[in-house]
Amino acid sequence: MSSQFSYELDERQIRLMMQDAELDYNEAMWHKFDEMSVTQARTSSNIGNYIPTLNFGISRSIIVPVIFIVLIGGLSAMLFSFVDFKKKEAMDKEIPYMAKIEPSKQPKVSSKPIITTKSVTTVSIAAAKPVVDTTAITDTANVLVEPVIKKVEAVKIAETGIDKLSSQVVNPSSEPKKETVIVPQKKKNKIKTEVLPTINATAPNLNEGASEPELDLK
Amino acid sequence: MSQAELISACLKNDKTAKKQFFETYFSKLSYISLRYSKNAAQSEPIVLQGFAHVLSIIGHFKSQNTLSFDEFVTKEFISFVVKYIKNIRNEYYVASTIKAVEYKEKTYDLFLDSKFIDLKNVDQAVLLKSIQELVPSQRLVFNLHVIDNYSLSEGSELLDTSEQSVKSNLEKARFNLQKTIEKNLKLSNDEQPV
Repeated sequence: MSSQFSYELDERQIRLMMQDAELDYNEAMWHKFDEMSVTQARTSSNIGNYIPTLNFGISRSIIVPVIFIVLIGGLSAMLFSFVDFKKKEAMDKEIPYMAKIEPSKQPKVSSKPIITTKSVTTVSIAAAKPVVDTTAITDTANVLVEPVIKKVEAVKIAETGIDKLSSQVVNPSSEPKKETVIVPQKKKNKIKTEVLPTINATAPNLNEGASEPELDLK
Repeated sequence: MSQAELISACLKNDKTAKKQFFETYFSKLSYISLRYSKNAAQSEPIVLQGFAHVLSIIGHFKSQNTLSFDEFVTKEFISFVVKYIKNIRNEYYVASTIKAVEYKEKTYDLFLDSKFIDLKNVDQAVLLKSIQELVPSQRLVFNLHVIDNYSLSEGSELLDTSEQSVKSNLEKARFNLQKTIEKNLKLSNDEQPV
Protein backbone atom coordinates (compact mmCIF):
# COMPACT_ATOMS: atom_id res chain seq x y z
CA MET A 1 0.00 0.00 0.00
CA SER A 2 1.38 3.32 -0.99
CA SER A 3 1.90 6.10 1.49
CA GLN A 4 0.05 8.47 -0.84
CA PHE A 5 -3.16 6.52 -0.40
CA SER A 6 -6.08 8.37 1.14
CA TYR A 7 -9.10 6.38 2.17
CA GLU A 8 -12.18 8.14 0.88
CA LEU A 9 -14.92 5.55 1.27
CA ASP A 10 -17.69 6.39 3.65
CA GLU A 11 -18.00 3.24 5.74
CA ARG A 12 -21.08 4.43 7.56
CA GLN A 13 -22.97 4.86 4.34
CA ILE A 14 -21.71 1.52 3.07
CA ARG A 15 -22.93 -0.16 6.27
CA LEU A 16 -26.42 1.37 6.01
CA MET A 17 -26.62 0.52 2.33
CA MET A 18 -25.56 -3.09 2.69
CA GLN A 19 -27.43 -3.89 5.89
CA ASP A 20 -30.74 -2.76 4.49
CA ALA A 21 -30.23 -4.47 1.16
CA GLU A 22 -32.36 -7.49 0.40
CA LEU A 23 -32.94 -9.87 -2.45
CA ASP A 24 -36.33 -10.72 -3.88
CA TYR A 25 -37.99 -13.87 -2.67
CA ASN A 26 -37.43 -16.83 -4.95
CA GLU A 27 -39.91 -19.70 -4.83
CA ALA A 28 -37.47 -22.01 -6.65
CA MET A 29 -35.09 -21.67 -3.76
CA TRP A 30 -37.76 -22.90 -1.37
CA HIS A 31 -38.31 -26.00 -3.48
CA LYS A 32 -34.60 -26.66 -3.53
CA PHE A 33 -34.47 -26.25 0.21
CA ASP A 34 -37.41 -28.59 0.67
CA GLU A 35 -35.82 -31.25 -1.51
CA MET A 36 -32.56 -30.87 0.36
CA SER A 37 -34.26 -31.24 3.76
CA VAL A 38 -36.06 -34.41 2.55
CA THR A 39 -32.81 -35.97 1.35
CA GLN A 40 -31.14 -34.97 4.59
CA ALA A 41 -33.95 -36.65 6.57
CA ARG A 42 -33.42 -39.84 4.55
CA THR A 43 -29.68 -39.88 5.10
CA SER A 44 -30.14 -39.10 8.79
CA SER A 45 -32.16 -42.30 9.20
CA ASN A 46 -29.10 -44.36 8.31
CA ILE A 47 -27.48 -46.41 11.08
CA GLY A 48 -24.14 -44.73 10.53
CA ASN A 49 -25.48 -41.36 11.55
CA TYR A 50 -26.41 -42.62 15.02
CA ILE A 51 -22.74 -43.14 15.77
CA PRO A 52 -21.51 -39.95 17.42
CA THR A 53 -18.80 -38.18 15.49
CA LEU A 54 -15.98 -36.67 17.46
CA ASN A 55 -14.68 -33.42 16.11
CA PHE A 56 -11.71 -32.11 18.01
CA GLY A 57 -10.97 -28.51 17.19
CA ILE A 58 -7.22 -28.55 17.61
CA SER A 59 -5.81 -25.18 16.76
CA ARG A 60 -2.31 -24.33 15.62
CA SER A 61 -1.49 -22.78 19.00
CA ILE A 62 -1.92 -26.20 20.61
CA ILE A 63 -0.33 -28.41 17.97
CA VAL A 64 2.90 -26.44 17.56
CA PRO A 65 3.88 -26.35 21.28
CA VAL A 66 2.94 -30.03 21.65
CA ILE A 67 5.15 -30.97 18.69
CA PHE A 68 8.05 -28.93 20.10
CA ILE A 69 7.67 -30.47 23.56
CA VAL A 70 7.64 -33.96 22.09
CA LEU A 71 10.70 -33.19 19.95
CA ILE A 72 12.70 -31.69 22.82
CA GLY A 73 11.69 -34.50 25.17
CA GLY A 74 12.59 -37.13 22.63
CA LEU A 75 15.97 -35.60 21.90
CA SER A 76 16.84 -35.22 25.57
CA ALA A 77 15.77 -38.81 26.24
CA MET A 78 17.97 -39.96 23.39
CA LEU A 79 20.94 -38.01 24.81
CA PHE A 80 20.35 -39.41 28.30
CA SER A 81 20.36 -42.88 26.88
CA PHE A 82 23.94 -42.29 25.66
CA VAL A 83 25.15 -40.89 28.98
CA ASP A 84 25.28 -43.48 31.79
CA PHE A 85 25.78 -41.93 35.21
CA LYS A 86 26.05 -45.28 36.98
CA LYS A 87 29.26 -46.12 35.16
CA LYS A 88 30.99 -43.07 36.59
CA GLU A 89 30.12 -44.11 40.14
CA ALA A 90 31.43 -47.55 39.48
CA MET A 91 34.68 -46.10 38.17
CA ASP A 92 35.12 -44.04 41.33
CA LYS A 93 34.98 -47.10 43.53
CA GLU A 94 38.26 -48.88 44.03
CA ILE A 95 38.21 -52.41 42.90
CA PRO A 96 40.33 -54.61 45.20
CA TYR A 97 42.80 -56.78 43.35
CA MET A 98 41.86 -60.39 43.51
CA ALA A 99 44.36 -62.88 42.27
CA LYS A 100 42.78 -65.46 40.16
CA ILE A 101 43.31 -68.94 41.39
CA GLU A 102 43.13 -71.29 38.57
CA PRO A 103 41.34 -74.42 39.40
CA SER A 104 43.89 -77.19 39.47
CA LYS A 105 43.35 -80.28 37.58
CA GLN A 106 42.15 -83.07 39.70
CA PRO A 107 44.66 -85.85 39.68
CA LYS A 108 43.60 -89.19 38.57
CA VAL A 109 43.14 -91.35 41.52
CA SER A 110 44.69 -94.68 40.99
CA SER A 111 45.14 -97.63 43.16
CA LYS A 112 48.86 -97.43 42.73
CA PRO A 113 50.24 -94.17 44.11
CA ILE A 114 53.38 -92.95 42.41
CA ILE A 115 56.02 -91.05 44.29
CA THR A 116 58.37 -89.06 42.19
CA THR A 117 61.51 -87.68 43.62
CA LYS A 118 63.83 -85.57 41.64
CA SER A 119 67.40 -85.06 42.62
CA VAL A 120 69.11 -82.14 41.12
CA THR A 121 72.51 -80.96 42.17
CA THR A 122 72.57 -77.22 42.47
CA VAL A 123 74.99 -74.65 43.82
CA SER A 124 72.77 -73.76 46.77
CA ILE A 125 72.98 -76.81 48.83
CA ALA A 126 71.13 -75.36 51.84
CA ALA A 127 67.93 -74.94 49.87
CA ALA A 128 68.00 -78.42 48.71
CA LYS A 129 65.59 -80.56 50.56
CA PRO A 130 63.64 -83.56 49.57
CA VAL A 131 60.01 -82.96 48.90
CA VAL A 132 57.59 -85.70 48.39
CA ASP A 133 54.53 -85.14 46.29
CA THR A 134 51.88 -85.62 48.92
CA THR A 135 49.00 -85.66 46.58
CA ALA A 136 49.94 -88.94 45.21
CA ILE A 137 50.12 -90.48 48.62
CA THR A 138 46.85 -89.16 50.00
CA ASP A 139 43.73 -91.19 49.94
CA THR A 140 41.10 -90.85 47.33
CA ALA A 141 38.69 -89.13 49.73
CA ASN A 142 41.15 -86.37 50.60
CA VAL A 143 42.17 -85.60 47.08
CA LEU A 144 39.57 -82.89 46.54
CA VAL A 145 40.11 -81.14 49.87
CA GLU A 146 43.90 -80.85 50.02
CA PRO A 147 45.71 -78.43 47.71
CA VAL A 148 48.11 -79.84 45.25
CA ILE A 149 51.66 -78.66 45.50
CA LYS A 150 53.67 -79.50 42.49
CA LYS A 151 55.63 -76.39 41.92
CA VAL A 152 58.46 -77.27 44.27
CA GLU A 153 60.52 -79.97 42.82
CA ALA A 154 62.18 -82.44 44.94
CA VAL A 155 65.86 -82.14 45.09
CA LYS A 156 67.84 -84.74 46.74
CA ILE A 157 71.46 -85.05 46.97
CA ALA A 158 72.99 -88.20 47.90
CA GLU A 159 74.35 -88.19 51.36
CA THR A 160 77.56 -89.77 50.34
CA GLY A 161 78.53 -87.17 47.86
CA ILE A 162 77.79 -84.14 50.07
CA ASP A 163 81.22 -84.01 51.62
CA LYS A 164 83.00 -84.26 48.36
CA LEU A 165 80.76 -81.74 46.66
CA SER A 166 81.27 -79.18 49.32
CA SER A 167 85.01 -79.20 48.85
CA GLN A 168 84.83 -78.92 45.10
CA VAL A 169 83.70 -76.17 42.82
CA VAL A 170 80.67 -77.26 40.95
CA ASN A 171 79.83 -76.03 37.53
CA PRO A 172 76.06 -76.50 37.19
CA SER A 173 75.97 -75.92 33.50
CA SER A 174 78.49 -78.58 32.74
CA GLU A 175 76.76 -81.30 34.74
CA PRO A 176 73.54 -82.94 33.62
CA LYS A 177 70.58 -83.23 35.94
CA LYS A 178 69.75 -86.64 37.13
CA GLU A 179 66.41 -87.81 38.35
CA THR A 180 65.61 -90.67 40.56
CA VAL A 181 62.19 -92.19 40.19
CA ILE A 182 61.02 -94.58 42.82
CA VAL A 183 57.86 -96.47 42.27
CA PRO A 184 56.71 -98.40 45.29
CA GLN A 185 54.54 -101.11 44.15
CA LYS A 186 53.02 -102.57 47.24
CA LYS A 187 54.27 -100.93 50.43
CA LYS A 188 54.05 -97.22 50.98
CA ASN A 189 56.45 -96.96 53.85
CA LYS A 190 59.37 -98.53 52.20
CA ILE A 191 60.91 -96.10 49.81
CA LYS A 192 64.07 -97.18 48.21
CA THR A 193 66.33 -94.53 46.96
CA GLU A 194 68.86 -95.35 44.40
CA VAL A 195 72.19 -93.97 45.32
CA LEU A 196 73.90 -92.52 42.38
CA PRO A 197 77.66 -92.40 42.13
CA THR A 198 79.01 -88.93 42.55
CA ILE A 199 80.95 -87.44 39.81
CA ASN A 200 84.04 -85.47 40.56
CA ALA A 201 83.27 -82.28 38.87
CA THR A 202 86.60 -80.66 38.85
CA ALA A 203 87.15 -77.40 37.13
CA PRO A 204 89.50 -77.72 34.26
CA ASN A 205 92.78 -76.03 34.93
CA LEU A 206 93.52 -73.84 32.01
CA ASN A 207 97.12 -73.46 32.92
CA GLU A 208 97.62 -77.16 33.09
CA GLY A 209 100.46 -78.31 30.97
CA ALA A 210 101.82 -74.87 30.38
CA SER A 211 105.23 -74.35 31.80
CA GLU A 212 105.71 -71.22 33.77
CA PRO A 213 108.75 -69.23 32.93
CA GLU A 214 111.14 -69.13 35.75
CA LEU A 215 112.12 -65.84 37.14
CA ASP A 216 115.69 -64.87 36.97
CA LEU A 217 116.66 -63.94 40.39
CA LYS A 218 119.83 -62.19 40.49
CA MET B 1 -48.28 -17.41 13.78
CA SER B 2 -46.37 -15.79 16.63
CA GLN B 3 -42.62 -16.09 17.10
CA ALA B 4 -42.85 -18.68 19.90
CA GLU B 5 -45.36 -20.74 17.90
CA LEU B 6 -43.12 -20.54 14.85
CA ILE B 7 -40.13 -21.80 16.83
CA SER B 8 -42.04 -24.67 18.41
CA ALA B 9 -43.56 -25.65 15.05
CA CYS B 10 -40.12 -25.62 13.39
CA LEU B 11 -38.81 -27.81 16.21
CA LYS B 12 -41.61 -30.26 15.44
CA ASN B 13 -40.44 -30.27 11.80
CA ASP B 14 -43.66 -28.65 10.53
CA LYS B 15 -43.36 -27.91 6.84
CA THR B 16 -45.64 -24.87 6.81
CA ALA B 17 -43.74 -23.32 9.71
CA LYS B 18 -40.47 -23.95 7.92
CA LYS B 19 -41.80 -22.32 4.77
CA GLN B 20 -42.96 -19.30 6.73
CA PHE B 21 -39.54 -19.01 8.34
CA PHE B 22 -37.89 -19.32 4.93
CA GLU B 23 -40.12 -16.64 3.40
CA THR B 24 -39.49 -14.28 6.31
CA TYR B 25 -35.70 -14.46 6.32
CA PHE B 26 -34.78 -15.41 2.77
CA SER B 27 -34.38 -11.88 1.39
CA LYS B 28 -32.13 -10.68 4.15
CA LEU B 29 -30.04 -13.83 4.58
CA SER B 30 -29.53 -14.42 0.88
CA TYR B 31 -28.10 -10.90 0.47
CA ILE B 32 -25.78 -11.49 3.42
CA SER B 33 -24.65 -14.69 1.75
CA LEU B 34 -24.16 -12.83 -1.51
CA ARG B 35 -21.82 -10.22 -0.08
CA TYR B 36 -19.80 -12.80 1.85
CA SER B 37 -19.30 -15.06 -1.17
CA LYS B 38 -17.48 -14.34 -4.40
CA ASN B 39 -20.50 -14.71 -6.71
CA ALA B 40 -24.15 -15.83 -6.89
CA ALA B 41 -23.19 -19.41 -7.75
CA GLN B 42 -21.22 -19.78 -4.55
CA SER B 43 -23.93 -18.02 -2.58
CA GLU B 44 -26.76 -20.41 -3.47
CA PRO B 45 -25.60 -23.54 -1.58
CA ILE B 46 -24.56 -21.33 1.32
CA VAL B 47 -28.11 -19.98 1.62
CA LEU B 48 -29.67 -23.44 1.57
CA GLN B 49 -27.25 -25.01 4.01
CA GLY B 50 -27.34 -21.91 6.18
CA PHE B 51 -31.11 -22.14 6.53
CA ALA B 52 -30.82 -25.80 7.41
CA HIS B 53 -28.23 -24.93 10.04
CA VAL B 54 -30.31 -22.18 11.60
CA LEU B 55 -33.40 -24.40 11.72
CA SER B 56 -31.38 -27.15 13.39
CA ILE B 57 -30.27 -24.85 16.21
CA ILE B 58 -33.46 -22.83 16.50
CA GLY B 59 -34.15 -24.55 19.79
CA HIS B 60 -31.14 -22.83 21.34
CA PHE B 61 -32.88 -19.49 21.20
CA LYS B 62 -34.19 -18.31 24.53
CA SER B 63 -36.63 -15.46 24.93
CA GLN B 64 -34.74 -14.21 28.01
CA ASN B 65 -31.67 -13.71 25.85
CA THR B 66 -30.44 -10.17 25.15
CA LEU B 67 -30.57 -10.86 21.43
CA SER B 68 -33.84 -10.69 19.55
CA PHE B 69 -34.89 -13.61 17.36
CA ASP B 70 -33.93 -11.70 14.21
CA GLU B 71 -30.48 -10.93 15.60
CA PHE B 72 -30.07 -14.53 16.74
CA VAL B 73 -30.92 -15.87 13.28
CA THR B 74 -28.64 -13.35 11.53
CA LYS B 75 -25.74 -14.00 13.86
CA GLU B 76 -25.96 -17.76 13.51
CA PHE B 77 -26.25 -17.46 9.76
CA ILE B 78 -23.19 -15.19 9.53
CA SER B 79 -21.10 -17.52 11.67
CA PHE B 80 -22.13 -20.42 9.41
CA VAL B 81 -21.23 -18.48 6.25
CA VAL B 82 -17.83 -17.49 7.64
CA LYS B 83 -17.01 -21.08 8.55
CA TYR B 84 -18.25 -22.31 5.17
CA ILE B 85 -16.04 -19.91 3.21
CA LYS B 86 -13.08 -20.49 5.49
CA ASN B 87 -13.46 -24.22 4.93
CA ILE B 88 -12.90 -23.77 1.20
CA ARG B 89 -9.25 -24.00 2.11
CA ASN B 90 -7.66 -24.02 -1.33
CA GLU B 91 -9.48 -20.80 -2.15
CA TYR B 92 -9.21 -19.11 1.23
CA TYR B 93 -5.49 -19.63 1.95
CA VAL B 94 -4.08 -19.45 -1.55
CA ALA B 95 -6.07 -16.50 -2.72
CA SER B 96 -5.17 -14.58 0.42
CA THR B 97 -1.54 -14.43 -0.57
CA ILE B 98 -1.52 -14.70 -4.35
CA LYS B 99 -3.78 -12.79 -6.63
CA ALA B 100 -3.42 -13.69 -10.24
CA VAL B 101 -3.92 -10.61 -12.33
CA GLU B 102 -3.71 -10.43 -16.06
CA TYR B 103 -0.97 -8.23 -17.38
CA LYS B 104 -2.25 -4.97 -18.76
CA GLU B 105 -0.32 -2.37 -20.60
CA LYS B 106 -0.35 0.86 -18.71
CA THR B 107 -0.90 3.79 -21.03
CA TYR B 108 -1.13 7.16 -19.49
CA ASP B 109 -2.58 9.99 -21.51
CA LEU B 110 -2.69 13.34 -19.74
CA PHE B 111 -5.07 14.81 -22.31
CA LEU B 112 -7.74 12.22 -21.79
CA ASP B 113 -10.91 13.36 -20.09
CA SER B 114 -10.84 12.19 -16.52
CA LYS B 115 -14.21 11.97 -14.90
CA PHE B 116 -14.60 12.73 -11.26
CA ILE B 117 -15.29 9.63 -9.19
CA ASP B 118 -17.47 10.24 -6.21
CA LEU B 119 -16.50 7.59 -3.69
CA LYS B 120 -18.96 8.93 -1.15
CA ASN B 121 -21.93 7.89 -3.21
CA VAL B 122 -21.23 4.54 -4.69
CA ASP B 123 -23.91 2.52 -6.38
CA GLN B 124 -25.05 -0.56 -4.45
CA ALA B 125 -24.43 -2.96 -7.34
CA VAL B 126 -20.92 -1.60 -7.89
CA LEU B 127 -20.19 -1.82 -4.20
CA LEU B 128 -21.42 -5.43 -4.00
CA LYS B 129 -19.37 -6.39 -7.03
CA SER B 130 -16.29 -4.71 -5.58
CA ILE B 131 -16.68 -6.49 -2.26
CA GLN B 132 -17.08 -9.81 -4.05
CA GLU B 133 -13.85 -9.20 -5.92
CA LEU B 134 -11.84 -8.99 -2.73
CA VAL B 135 -9.84 -12.01 -1.66
CA PRO B 136 -11.79 -14.19 0.80
CA SER B 137 -9.86 -13.30 3.95
CA GLN B 138 -10.19 -9.57 3.27
CA ARG B 139 -13.81 -9.93 2.19
CA LEU B 140 -14.76 -11.73 5.39
CA VAL B 141 -13.00 -9.21 7.62
CA PHE B 142 -14.50 -6.24 5.79
CA ASN B 143 -18.00 -7.69 5.97
CA LEU B 144 -17.69 -8.61 9.61
CA HIS B 145 -16.12 -5.42 10.90
CA VAL B 146 -17.45 -2.68 8.61
CA ILE B 147 -20.90 -3.93 7.64
CA ASP B 148 -21.99 -6.29 10.39
CA ASN B 149 -20.43 -4.33 13.28
CA TYR B 150 -18.28 -7.09 14.68
CA SER B 151 -15.33 -5.91 16.76
CA LEU B 152 -11.79 -6.97 15.83
CA SER B 153 -11.62 -9.42 18.74
CA GLU B 154 -14.98 -10.97 17.79
CA GLY B 155 -13.82 -11.22 14.19
CA SER B 156 -10.53 -12.85 15.17
CA GLU B 157 -12.42 -15.34 17.36
CA LEU B 158 -14.79 -16.20 14.54
CA LEU B 159 -12.02 -16.50 11.96
CA ASP B 160 -9.75 -18.35 14.41
CA THR B 161 -6.84 -15.99 13.78
CA SER B 162 -5.01 -13.31 15.71
CA GLU B 163 -6.40 -9.84 16.10
CA GLN B 164 -3.31 -8.43 14.41
CA SER B 165 -3.90 -10.42 11.25
CA VAL B 166 -7.54 -9.33 11.23
CA LYS B 167 -6.42 -5.73 11.50
CA SER B 168 -3.89 -6.21 8.73
CA ASN B 169 -6.48 -7.83 6.47
CA LEU B 170 -8.89 -5.01 7.18
CA GLU B 171 -6.34 -2.41 6.08
CA LYS B 172 -5.63 -4.34 2.91
CA ALA B 173 -9.36 -4.76 2.29
CA ARG B 174 -9.96 -1.02 2.58
CA PHE B 175 -7.17 -0.22 0.14
CA ASN B 176 -8.16 -2.90 -2.36
CA LEU B 177 -11.86 -2.07 -2.12
CA GLN B 178 -11.29 1.57 -2.95
CA LYS B 179 -9.11 0.65 -5.90
CA THR B 180 -11.66 -1.91 -7.09
CA ILE B 181 -14.52 0.55 -6.77
CA GLU B 182 -12.58 3.12 -8.78
CA LYS B 183 -11.89 0.55 -11.46
CA ASN B 184 -15.49 -0.67 -11.57
CA LEU B 185 -16.86 2.88 -11.65
CA LYS B 186 -14.61 3.73 -14.57
CA LEU B 187 -15.78 0.63 -16.40
CA SER B 188 -19.44 1.41 -15.76
CA ASN B 189 -18.94 5.03 -16.91
CA ASP B 190 -17.26 3.83 -20.09
CA GLU B 191 -20.10 1.48 -20.85
CA GLN B 192 -22.75 4.18 -20.41
CA PRO B 193 -23.86 5.79 -23.68
CA VAL B 194 -22.79 9.38 -24.15
